[in-house]
Amino acid sequence: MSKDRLEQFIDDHNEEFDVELPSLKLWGEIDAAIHPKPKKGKWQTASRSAAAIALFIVAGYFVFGSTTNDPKNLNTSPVALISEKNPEFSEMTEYYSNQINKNMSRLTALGHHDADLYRDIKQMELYYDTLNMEWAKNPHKSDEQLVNAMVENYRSRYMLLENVVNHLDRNRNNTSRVKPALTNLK
Amino acid sequence: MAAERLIKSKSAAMIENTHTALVKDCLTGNRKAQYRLYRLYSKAMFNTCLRMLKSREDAEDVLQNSFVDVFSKLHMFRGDSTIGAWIKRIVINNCINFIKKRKMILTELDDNRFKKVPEENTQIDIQLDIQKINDALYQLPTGYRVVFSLYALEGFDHKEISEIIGTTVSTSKSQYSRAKKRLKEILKDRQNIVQNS
Repeated sequence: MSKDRLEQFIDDHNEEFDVELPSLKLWGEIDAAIHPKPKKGKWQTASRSAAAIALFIVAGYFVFGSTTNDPKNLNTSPVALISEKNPEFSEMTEYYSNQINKNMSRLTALGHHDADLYRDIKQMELYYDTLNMEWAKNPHKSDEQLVNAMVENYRSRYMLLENVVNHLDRNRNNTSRVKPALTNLK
Repeated sequence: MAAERLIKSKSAAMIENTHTALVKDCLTGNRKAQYRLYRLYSKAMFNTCLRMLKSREDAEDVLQNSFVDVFSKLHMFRGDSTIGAWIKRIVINNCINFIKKRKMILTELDDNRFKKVPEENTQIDIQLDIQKINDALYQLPTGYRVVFSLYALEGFDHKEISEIIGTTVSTSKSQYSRAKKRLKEILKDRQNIVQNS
């Protein structure tokens, strides 16, 4: 079939009809879809968030922490100072410390060996040590922000481990509920 | 002329070899190669999508999904056609699926909505211009626009078009003929408006 003028014109200028360009971000979306990042487990994501929160609290303390030197506190020991100002401090840290140890033992009993999780807990302990060292180095800085940062560090570690243990327990219960049904099918 | 043809065929062979190497690199998951392949065809394929779907947003969505399909199905490319033709087929199939999902009409009814214009007159009178043709193309109803684009711009024959859109060869031919006529009417009408203003 012979081509008319319009068809011949389109044929002769075919590539010139491609005038539009797709948006530049499109490749990024295609690349992300064909190279997906490995998925993290629920508690791995929680672990990262908890570690980030712990770091944020430490950083926050050093950036905005009180630097007032109250002369009347100069001869008071840091622990006594904190306990005196915040009577709940010792009680809370003791409580969290016990819970953390309990959950760690539970994880060992469940045979859960998540290197990422232990690394993050370790990291949070290091943040705690940093606060502790700061406290020992400069007892006059033992103010409310430091106390909060230390308690929050304990609490983050406790919450993270608690979530992991609960998650493992739920999975374990679900499996044990399913098992008899599977056995019946055999 | 013979020399020109030889040079053209040699260049085509060289391009094809380069593209074959590029496909091999893409298959190893090489991101740079994948980006190069995307750069080679994204502009042409985007314009193909745009002509079929009319909306820029829809065209980008389909283009994105099509290239994800291209890279995830690349191991299935057997080299029976050029990589460009293979990519184009994926893009066009995705456009057609998109149109069908949106329940847009792919085969326009044969009615008398459009005034009859003698073919000879339009051939003589209309001034041809890329921008004006592109603009007029977007004024066509979906069914006409798709068949016209597939035949006149993408280079498919009516048998291929009938398979792509799921119709008969004769329907594809009649749709194309009406689409072309309507396109010329739009071009002529616009030209008259400009001349009379």
